[in-house]
Amino acid sequence: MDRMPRLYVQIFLVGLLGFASGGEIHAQSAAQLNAVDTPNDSGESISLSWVISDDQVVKSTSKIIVYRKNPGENDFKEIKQLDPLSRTFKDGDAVHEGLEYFYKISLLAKDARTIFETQPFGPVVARAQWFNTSKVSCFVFSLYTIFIVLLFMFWTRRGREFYLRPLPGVRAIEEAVGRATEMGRVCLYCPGISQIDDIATLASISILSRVAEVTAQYGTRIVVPNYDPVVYSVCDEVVKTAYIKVGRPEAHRPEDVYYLTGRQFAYASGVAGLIAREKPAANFFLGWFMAESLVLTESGVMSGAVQIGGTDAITQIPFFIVTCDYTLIGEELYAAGAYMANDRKLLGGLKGQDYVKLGIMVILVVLFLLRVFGVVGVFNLLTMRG
Amino acid sequence: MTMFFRRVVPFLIVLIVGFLSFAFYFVPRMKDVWNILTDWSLILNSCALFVGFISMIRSYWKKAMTKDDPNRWYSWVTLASVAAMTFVGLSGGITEGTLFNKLFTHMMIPLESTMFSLLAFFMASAAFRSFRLKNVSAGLLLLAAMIVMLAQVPLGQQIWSAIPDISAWIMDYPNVAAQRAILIGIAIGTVATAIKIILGLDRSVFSGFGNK
Repeated sequence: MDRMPRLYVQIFLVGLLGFASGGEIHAQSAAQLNAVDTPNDSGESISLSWVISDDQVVKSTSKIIVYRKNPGENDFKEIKQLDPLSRTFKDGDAVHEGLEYFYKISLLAKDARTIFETQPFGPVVARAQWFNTSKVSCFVFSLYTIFIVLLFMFWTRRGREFYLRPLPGVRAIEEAVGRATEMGRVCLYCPGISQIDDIATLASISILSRVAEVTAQYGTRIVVPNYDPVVYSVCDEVVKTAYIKVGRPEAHRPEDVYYLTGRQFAYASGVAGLIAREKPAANFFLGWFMAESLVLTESGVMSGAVQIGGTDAITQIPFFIVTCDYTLIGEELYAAGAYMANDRKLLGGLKGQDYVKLGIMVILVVLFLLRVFGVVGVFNLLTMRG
Repeated sequence: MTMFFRRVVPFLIVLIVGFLSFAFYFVPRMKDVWNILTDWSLILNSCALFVGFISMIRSYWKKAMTKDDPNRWYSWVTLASVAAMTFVGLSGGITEGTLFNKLFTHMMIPLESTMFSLLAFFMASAAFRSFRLKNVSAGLLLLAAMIVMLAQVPLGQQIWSAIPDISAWIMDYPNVAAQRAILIGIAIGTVATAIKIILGLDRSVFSGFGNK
């Protein structure tokens, strides 16, 4: 008998407690916040993510506010307001490596009333990583390429012979310079409009050193207008050294290698005017070009010059093919320097590049077949994330 | 000693900076160091611009003073323009509203736009020369070019409703396939060329002596 009233009281109190705290118990599971150190960065950001599991809360939320408590402070400060559909946030504002941060988020209704606020999450510490794991595929590919290229260079130094298909554009360079000598005209060499750190520019300068040697041997002038001042400095040195190497330093004219301008179409205008006035017999457009390429090459066509073009800019290759007598497409520009040097090591490196491409083709076929048969996980290994 | 500074020092600089550049791409912790090196390169570029400016003045001055050259007046125009813009920029500033800014906006920009507009005519003349029915491959090029050009204007769809779809197929499949093939070759060539220069296997960029 005594047990029954006590049981009723307990049930009543539990029900009353549940009714009174019904909203809180309900809201405790409305949203869960998580914060971690952003992977693959230099320790300057923390990544937040949250899940709002209550549909009623999702519908009522009109704004999400992110708060952060900095090290040494007691209060949370607002750092970002987000739209209600946001579920992630990357905090990179004055986050320092090694310090402890705390975060919480508030879900606000339209009338700015706080619907729900998460418990503070932390401490979270931002750390700098030593290796960007999202770039593993790129790293492996780079090492593979370097290894194969160096291996073939090593083999050619040991005396192994490899066949390389001839490049008509490279063979035509000496003929073009000879033509210019016979006609008593100059050779024009444009190393492109990119900067010195561009591989196409470096390849062009490598070719320029050989072309300058040929012009020095033939006693022909070579004019090199430059777009970039650093490239001008290198070209000047390369041409001067080429003349010294051939034993004709007195034939070198310093004013023939100069900085023209750093504006794209001003450069095109200057070179077009140079072509119209000097009427060079041989034009070399080797490097990285953009829209001005057609202005340059068409001006050369109108002057009747032999033109050899080469670029790795995909969009300009068709223009060079149409307007130039010989075109070096893409990697042929990089290979031309090795061809002209006739150095066994460099030619071996070219062969290595071909085998790298062969390896890539095999990998692509294998991945294609795996994808066809429904194996998709392997494909993700090749992608770079973040 | 001269050879040491002309050969060894540039090679060492390229080797160290090249290796660090490769490493920094994969090491997020070194981002601050990389930012500092990038700032240094900007400073070096500015100094090189000064050197280039002097070389340009020297080159055009020599041409302008050559009395036998009938084109020396162009060199005088260039030198006068350089002097005028330099004086105006240094004396009045280069911000918006200054004479320098007005000269740039009202002279330089229209001149560049004029050069850019010449592309339309050059493209027409290049297309006229190249789209000739000489053999099978030239015929394919001609056909593809016609379809793609017609698809750019409403007339193409009026002639045949499938032209835009065929054009889209040409641009999305054979065109992209060819571009990707060239890009793969370029990517491999870039790595190989870079490693040859960084390791000093191809020194023609340094001094023009090549590998000798």
